[in-house]
Amino acid sequence: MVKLEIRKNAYYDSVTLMLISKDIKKISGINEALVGMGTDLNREIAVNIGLATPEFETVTANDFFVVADCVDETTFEAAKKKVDELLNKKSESKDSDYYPPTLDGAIKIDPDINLAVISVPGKHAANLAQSCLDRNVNVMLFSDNVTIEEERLLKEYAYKKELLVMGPDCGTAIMNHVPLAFANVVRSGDIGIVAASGTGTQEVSSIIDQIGGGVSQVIGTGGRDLKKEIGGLMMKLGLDALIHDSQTKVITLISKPPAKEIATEMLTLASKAGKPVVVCFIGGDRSEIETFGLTAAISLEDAAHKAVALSKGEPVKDFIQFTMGEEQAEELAKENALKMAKSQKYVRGFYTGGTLCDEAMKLMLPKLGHIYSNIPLQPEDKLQDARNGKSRKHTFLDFGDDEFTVGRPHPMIDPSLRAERVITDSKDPECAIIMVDCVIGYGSHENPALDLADAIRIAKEEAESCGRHLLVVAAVCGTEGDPQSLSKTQKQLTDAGAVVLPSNAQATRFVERVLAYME
Amino acid sequence: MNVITADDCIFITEADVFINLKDSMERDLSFANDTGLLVPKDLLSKVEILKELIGDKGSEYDLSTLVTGKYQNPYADFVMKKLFGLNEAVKKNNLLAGELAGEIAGCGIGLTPSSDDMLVGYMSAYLADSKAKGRSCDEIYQVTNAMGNKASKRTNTISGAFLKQCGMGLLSEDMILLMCTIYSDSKAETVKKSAERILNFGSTSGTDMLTGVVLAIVNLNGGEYFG
Repeated sequence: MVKLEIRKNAYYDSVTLMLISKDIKKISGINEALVGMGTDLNREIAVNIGLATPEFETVTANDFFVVADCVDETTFEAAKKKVDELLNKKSESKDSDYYPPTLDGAIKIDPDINLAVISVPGKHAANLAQSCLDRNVNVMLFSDNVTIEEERLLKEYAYKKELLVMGPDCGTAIMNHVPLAFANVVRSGDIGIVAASGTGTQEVSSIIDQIGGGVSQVIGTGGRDLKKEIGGLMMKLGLDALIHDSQTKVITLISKPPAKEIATEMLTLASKAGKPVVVCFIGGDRSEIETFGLTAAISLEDAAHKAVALSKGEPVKDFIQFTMGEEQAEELAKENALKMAKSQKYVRGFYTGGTLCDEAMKLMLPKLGHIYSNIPLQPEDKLQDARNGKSRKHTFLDFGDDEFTVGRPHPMIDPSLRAERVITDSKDPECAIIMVDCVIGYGSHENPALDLADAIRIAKEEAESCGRHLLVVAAVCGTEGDPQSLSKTQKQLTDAGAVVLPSNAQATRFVERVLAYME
Repeated sequence: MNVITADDCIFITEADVFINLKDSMERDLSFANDTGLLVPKDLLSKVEILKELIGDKGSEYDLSTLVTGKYQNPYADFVMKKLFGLNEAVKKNNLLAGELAGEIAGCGIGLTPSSDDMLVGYMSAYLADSKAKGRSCDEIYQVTNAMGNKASKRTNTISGAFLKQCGMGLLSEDMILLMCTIYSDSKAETVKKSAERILNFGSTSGTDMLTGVVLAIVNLNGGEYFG
């Protein structure tokens, strides 16, 4: 039976309509469905695909319609309910609070406002940030495409006024226990973080929560802050803020290894903090950090463990174990390695988090020698046309890099491209192991494991049908308190056949064990 | 909803919106004033860049498949059938193009249905191509006016307004920029950047507009839609 629902004079954007269209077709008992504005042609197309109904005569071009061929009335009611659910979800977020349309309007309503999150097209972002700073409002600049010259001017101005400019392209912060943008639900505590890395910060703060610690503040700086042109201005200001923050007892700094002179300046400042400082220069030289009497971390996971140990007054040691236990990890690695076909040689890493991809490559480079990537560690390992081309030997991809995000959302919001790639590479007879991350928390997809788990199932079956054993190793970044739930996310991936490790670093260690057995 | 207009100001009281146009920047968005366009030697290479961008951004829900052949959807199937007639009429600068645009408008999902966005891109490129070839603008505007007017009657009010304006040669700043980079000796990278700005329109709108641009250029200059 064909059923029609009309919403008079209702306009919805295409993102909403795509979601509705996708979701109602999934409802059991719906054979075909179409949603859209009731233009003549859309009505004609509905008729052409077998969705004709006399009530269509009353639909106008300014009306929104949902038409479905379904098995019964109840099914259509379910479809209507789903439509309402999806539409209300959007309007709820619009109606729940009053959103002043201008910065001045916001300050007029609440003169105490002292932090603004800016997410506008890049060309307008710097001006808006400047307006905030002029009004003594700290800035979290989520927007990217801000030039480095603009960033320098903004940060120099902010530094003089002792205001923060977190960003540009700053995806994560937690201020006074309020998560901003992509952040996880972490316990309050005494560990303060200043970081020039988005998913790196999420990994550290999530693990701190998982092992019983808590955070006081998480200050993002934007990935370019420690470049010479900027001089680490916000890292210095953030560090200074944490030094003077009475709630912060342990400080953690996270960044890619900065230029030598910037590193020296940061480490000198940190060494005078009067509080323990853990420094994680991902893939950097630990001896340089230790020279300054600071605690060096060898991975993001290690940074979290060391910060928690310092917070609890426990002895600090490198964390290189497996949470599941050494023996079990060894056994599992061996079991998987022995199932591999002779043709299977290479590791593929497909990441939605850029820092997680970078960390995995840095941890595995000594073992793998060359890792081809769109964000290579060595210039000669640059993978051309990473998005449309094929993987080459050991290949690790950051799906959040510009090449993959032109005109589409970040993979933490829409992980479908990554899921497709898992399936594509499972067809490669030389592919032995696929490593994936799954970042949950605020801002991320409501269930990023769903598509990934489906892809893992298909990929493993594909390999199995060709006489190969495909090992998928996953690490979930997030906490139990996150809307998606850490354990539920892990379970979905485990049920799909992935080996799920509790951190990115453990995932790399596990893969190294498997490779050792394969040799 | 009450909308109050006074002097150069607009008040929408229920939405707490106040728009003051007194100090706004004035921009002439009439494409008629853009002179000096030319048909570059690498026009079809530029089209290939656009096709690549459309291929990357396009989805099963829009009309990108008209130039990529990647997906199948009922909207694209429908438009494809009507496209041949429109192409022929436009090649001859025939006013019949208006009727045919009307037969295509209002097809697809979204606030501005996909085929409307495609027509906006198509008309923009048609205007630019004609100017670059030194053709009589008055004659071309008659055709695009007919296309905009007829198409606007077959779609919703908001989308119809865009189509009418486009038919009158009033294009967005970003679309004018794209046309100027395509129909000049601008480098490939510049074309890519200006096309990416169009791609960022809405969710599917940008892709559909760019699809229209490619369809028109290929129609008027030879070349292939797929491959």
